[in-house]
Amino acid sequence: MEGDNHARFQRSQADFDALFRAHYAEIVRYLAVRLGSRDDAADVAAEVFVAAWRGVPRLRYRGRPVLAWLYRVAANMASDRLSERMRQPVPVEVVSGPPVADVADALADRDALTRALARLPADQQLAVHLRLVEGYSFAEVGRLMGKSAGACQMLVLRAGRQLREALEREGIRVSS
Amino acid sequence: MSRADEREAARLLAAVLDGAEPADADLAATARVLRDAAAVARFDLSEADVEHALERARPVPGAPPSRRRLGVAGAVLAAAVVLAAAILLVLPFTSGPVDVDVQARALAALGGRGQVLGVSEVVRPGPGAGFPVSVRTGWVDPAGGRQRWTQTVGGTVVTETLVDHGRVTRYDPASGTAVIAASCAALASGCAESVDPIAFYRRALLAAGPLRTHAHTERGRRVYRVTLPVERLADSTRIVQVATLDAATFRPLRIEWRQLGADGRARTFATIAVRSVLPIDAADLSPGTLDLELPPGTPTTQLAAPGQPVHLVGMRRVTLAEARTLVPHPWWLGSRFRGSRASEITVLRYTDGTAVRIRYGRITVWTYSRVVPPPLLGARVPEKTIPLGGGVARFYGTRGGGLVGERTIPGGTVAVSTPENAAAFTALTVVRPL
Repeated sequence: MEGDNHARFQRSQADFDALFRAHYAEIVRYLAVRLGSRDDAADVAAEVFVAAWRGVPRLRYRGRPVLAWLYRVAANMASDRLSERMRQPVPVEVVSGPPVADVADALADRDALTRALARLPADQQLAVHLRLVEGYSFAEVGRLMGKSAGACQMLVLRAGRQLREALEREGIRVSS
Repeated sequence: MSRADEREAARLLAAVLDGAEPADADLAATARVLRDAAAVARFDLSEADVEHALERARPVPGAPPSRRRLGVAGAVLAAAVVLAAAILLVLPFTSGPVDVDVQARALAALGGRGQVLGVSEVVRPGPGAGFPVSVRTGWVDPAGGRQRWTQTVGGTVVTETLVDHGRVTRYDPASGTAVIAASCAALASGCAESVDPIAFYRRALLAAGPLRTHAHTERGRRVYRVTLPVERLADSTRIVQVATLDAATFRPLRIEWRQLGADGRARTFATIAVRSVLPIDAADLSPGTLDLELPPGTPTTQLAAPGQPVHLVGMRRVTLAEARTLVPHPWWLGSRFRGSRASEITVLRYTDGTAVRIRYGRITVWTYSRVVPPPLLGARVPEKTIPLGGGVARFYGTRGGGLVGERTIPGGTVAVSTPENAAAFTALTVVRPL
């Protein structure tokens, strides 16, 4: 049984096109939050699939579906890309001028939410992405993350609290 | 809260997210913020987007998966090596009118490890593009990720450019100002004028799968013509390169850039006549050759780093008197321009920067420093670059179909958006500080 699964796993990985078509979009969505840019996400996502295809011989089936491995590669590549950015000097400029009233509250809230989401710890980001963006059940999220469903529920709870705190720090009240 | 209570709260939240009624307002608020966050992060990719990405990412057929962990650069290099080996070993046994090791030889002609390229090229506009012929001379260091060149128009230096791992510093000696952007994607005129054609050509050669090559004779000289696959610039502009190579040296003689529009049609944007490509050992290069030292006190504008989406977060109408107090100081066209009065002076606050917008009927003047206002983001390929008023004016089409002319000013950029070409040019010649 284990051998069959391993063989199926390898075949699935090797079928690059099918793998790409099935999961590229969700990997891009995940990376877009982590990297804060859809263009960067699209570039890195393509690299994730190439790495997956190249990595076939050294994979060992551990009872988790291909998608779990794709997410792990994506998370590692996102961390590498973010570290790379941290090493580059960030341009700093003081933008002066009179205070400007925020009349576009919805836009401001959305922007604050995007920033708060990007600042969540990586495991919380992934749990939120899998459960709420992609709509997997907590049992499936658990399988993909290699954790129990309860542990994933805990990650989502903590993510929700951190998001609320981040918004409240920016003066945005969150109500039910 | 005890660990058991935490677990219970997490379970209840999970139930709410699954559709159950929230037990209290706190839980409901947490569920709400999570759903809002998910809505922000959710977007769709079209089938065409996925197929296009697949086409670019698909591994070279026949290349065996590696057992070693490869970095991205290593993977690309390995793919090129495998490809070159396949071409050299297999294709000589097939029949065909064209030598088939062109791609590998073309790469080899651009130097090896530890070498930099001295380049000189003449950039000519494509039909209808309209910008003047310019000459670029400089250096490309593929391993170091640096490019440094000087661009002249009619013998006058119009731009000194340094690209360091994607970060662009552009110095305009006529106005004595500089722009620094963490990526060419942050520049209003996009990446096309911030990428050296030889560096871009080399990158495409490395990344390409097997290429179709045609042999020709041009003016008695034997050449190969190679069409490289679509390459995306950092700002997503899609470029197809058609390179003509000397059959003896395998160095590029001419590279035609064809820009792919949203409709998939290609139009020739520029033709680059390569005057020389000289690989030399990096160790032999004089110190500072690949640097750009700005004169002391150069007014420098820094554009927002890429990867930080620019959103409008606030806006406010101001009076003329208030506008005069703003920093950076707004520029305008006077109280009237082409029969329209200056109206609607608005300060727009974006994430990472502000802009001032002044309307004259259908013509709008923008002054900005750090962030390019999204309505000005161009089709990402400048259609015209000309010396103007001691500086350089750049013109480009917007995504909405209009035309924008921009010029660098101390502390920022002034741009005029208009539906008419003539008005943009005239406006840029008369625009002045408010």
